[in-house]
Amino acid sequence: MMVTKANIKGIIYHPASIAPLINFRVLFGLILLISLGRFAWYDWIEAQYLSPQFHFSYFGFNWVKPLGTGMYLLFGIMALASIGIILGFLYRISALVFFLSFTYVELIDVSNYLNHYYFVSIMALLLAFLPAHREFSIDAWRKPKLHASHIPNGFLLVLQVMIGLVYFYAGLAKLNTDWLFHALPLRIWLPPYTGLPLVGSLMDELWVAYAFSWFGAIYDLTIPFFLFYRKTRPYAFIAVIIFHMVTWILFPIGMFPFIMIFSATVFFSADFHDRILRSFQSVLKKLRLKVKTNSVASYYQPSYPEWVWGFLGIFLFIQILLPWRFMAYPGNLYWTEQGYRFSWRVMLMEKAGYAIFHIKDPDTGKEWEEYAHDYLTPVQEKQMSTQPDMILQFAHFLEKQLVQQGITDPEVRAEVYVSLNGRGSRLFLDPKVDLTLIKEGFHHKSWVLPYKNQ
Amino acid sequence: MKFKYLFFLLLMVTGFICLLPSCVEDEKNEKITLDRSPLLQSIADNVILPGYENLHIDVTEMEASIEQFLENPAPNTLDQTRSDFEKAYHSWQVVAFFEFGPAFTETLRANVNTFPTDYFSIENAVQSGEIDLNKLSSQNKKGFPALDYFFYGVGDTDETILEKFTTDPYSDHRKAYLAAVSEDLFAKVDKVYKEWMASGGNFRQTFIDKDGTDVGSSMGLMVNALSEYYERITRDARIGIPLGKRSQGVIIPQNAEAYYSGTSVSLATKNLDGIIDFFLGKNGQQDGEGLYDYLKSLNHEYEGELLADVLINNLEEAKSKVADIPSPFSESVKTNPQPAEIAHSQLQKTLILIKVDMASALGILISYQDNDGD
Repeated sequence: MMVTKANIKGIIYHPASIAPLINFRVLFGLILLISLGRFAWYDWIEAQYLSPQFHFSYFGFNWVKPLGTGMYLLFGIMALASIGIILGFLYRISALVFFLSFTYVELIDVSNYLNHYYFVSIMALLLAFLPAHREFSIDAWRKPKLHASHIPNGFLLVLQVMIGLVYFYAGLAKLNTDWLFHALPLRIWLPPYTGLPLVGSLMDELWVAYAFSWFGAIYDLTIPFFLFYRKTRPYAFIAVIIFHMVTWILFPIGMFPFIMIFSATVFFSADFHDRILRSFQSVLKKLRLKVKTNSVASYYQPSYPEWVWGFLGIFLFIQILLPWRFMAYPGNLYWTEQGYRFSWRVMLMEKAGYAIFHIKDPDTGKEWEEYAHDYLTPVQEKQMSTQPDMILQFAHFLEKQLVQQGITDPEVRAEVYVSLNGRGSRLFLDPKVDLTLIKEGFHHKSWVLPYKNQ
Repeated sequence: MKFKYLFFLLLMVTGFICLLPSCVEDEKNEKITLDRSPLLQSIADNVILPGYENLHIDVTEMEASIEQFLENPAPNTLDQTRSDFEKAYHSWQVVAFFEFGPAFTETLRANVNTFPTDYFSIENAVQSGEIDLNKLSSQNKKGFPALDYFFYGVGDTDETILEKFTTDPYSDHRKAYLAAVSEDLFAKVDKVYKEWMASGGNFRQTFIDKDGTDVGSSMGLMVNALSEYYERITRDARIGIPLGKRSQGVIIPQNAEAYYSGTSVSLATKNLDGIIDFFLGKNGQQDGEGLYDYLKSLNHEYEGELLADVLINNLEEAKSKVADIPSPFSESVKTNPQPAEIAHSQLQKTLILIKVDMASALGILISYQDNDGD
């Protein structure tokens, strides 16, 4: 069958019930609100944005700085925006405000990078482009002409493709020899869980580590397709719940499992979502809250379709390409981490390192050492010790500190040892390179030593 | 029904794949045997409790001889006090790195061994007679380093030292200060020791029961405490800082541990001795299970050798390199810093094995902060 323009148009404009979008809006907004509350409850605003004296910026985003106590205000705005998303109140503005403020917060410090924060960021951006407020919302209640019972199927498809991409790329990333043929890093991560009830005794069995590795890879690669096909969907969703609950028990990954479980519901049929919506409405009615629903079927179409579909298309295109950028760099990806982030490489390796910074004052010939723990939080230090771009940034920060202390032209060299997947630690960077002479950027970091597998 | 076939196929493939590894991998150790409770019990009974018990005995004896010295400051009582002081200071070195549980709550290390001691403030307090050792800012005016100053540093010769406690106009104040330091030191050690004992706080049981490897587990606390201590005290405070590693290459001899008695090298060697014994689960002749044995059972390799052996060999090497530093360290750092440089780089090498390789092998998060991962 030829894929024609008319074909694509047919798929995109095929009228679909708005219910899946509504439920996704409410669930996603709820989980955002809960995540924010949890973040504040643990005092992480203070720990991650107020107490550190130095922040690792993303290349080109060095203007993004913490706002001092204004961070609390920013988190407050995010909480309001997520309530706006849940209630469908000033919906598009709420989604956009959430996207901007959340992304701003995440851009402050690379050491806080988590794949699921990135996921939240891009989902929030997508939400701003979806007509998820045209039913069951304050906006539609205030402006009845916003009402729509049906929307172009393309809007749902974008969400489904995006979620499918996350899984699929996470699966592709697992297709490497360490993961498949050495059960690494799971054979290191599982044995500490021998204390679990019932299954505890299995956790230090090697075959269990292999089974988890292979099942994880197959699950990630296939689940988008099983979710997509109606007949396999219920089983696939059970698998989604089991998979994410297991990862939730075993790994410190916070809200991520719940975000993914809720997200997977966008694959469900319109019928299912309609029923959920209706039962929710009847609960609200019992609470004597009047919910006006428009029984007249109405189909919404974007006013500037070229712009909307164009944006969504380009967005997905970038998402498809981004994880492949590692191929532009030579060397072992897990070792150099050039092109590692923003690619759904989730819980993929056990990496630890330690950095000693050797300082030399060429004016006096004196040499001494600097250690990261004098300047960084434990989390920042841990993240920096295994990632070359962060080590470089820190070396430049040290240079600035030393210049302020009156050393005109300090030389900063890093002696860093890194262990990958439990293999013996080895020298990570060329210890002879003066890092003050190296520029930051996306170009290949030739001063990272090649990874030799013993 | 199509999907049934699909699922059957998936099950088959998964099942087959799970069997696959047994043919592709020739594993020496199919099951990783891990039972941490007996290990923790051994560490508590063979290393930690005897260590605190020894320290408790020595500090008690030291307190008694200090009392005699205060009653009658004379050459013979000074000698006795000094020898008891050195004995107790050495006993401290083998328990110093257990900075978790009661020792953490009581901030034992900071209270008994913050060096260099602030002799200037001590002298001021002696003159004014105002003694308050309970403030946070008093940590560098008490403990072993303050005693080191009183017994070796208040005068250049034994006669002038004794004069400070006899004929000096402030001798009464000085005696009161010394008594307060001795009392405070005993109280802190006594508190922590009793917290560990079954008849006291019974932290021993808590320690054995928390047998996971997460952040709050005994294993996690122990390894985190050890690596932090080894990094900041064993390497930095004892060797690196006097060597000028943290001060733009300018040496700071007076920052050496036990600067006045000149026993820095002996104390640092004893500390490494204690760390090695802790790894081996050893207490004198009695050799129980330690982290060494546990690491060995995990079968982790480092450049073709067992990581457990590499680690112990490197610690032994570090100990002998530290022992090679000419005493007193505060002099040799000026005249012959090379042996200390060599010791420092060996300490550095071993730190990486502890902080990177061992922590990785044990699956312990080296982090003193709670956060999400992904």
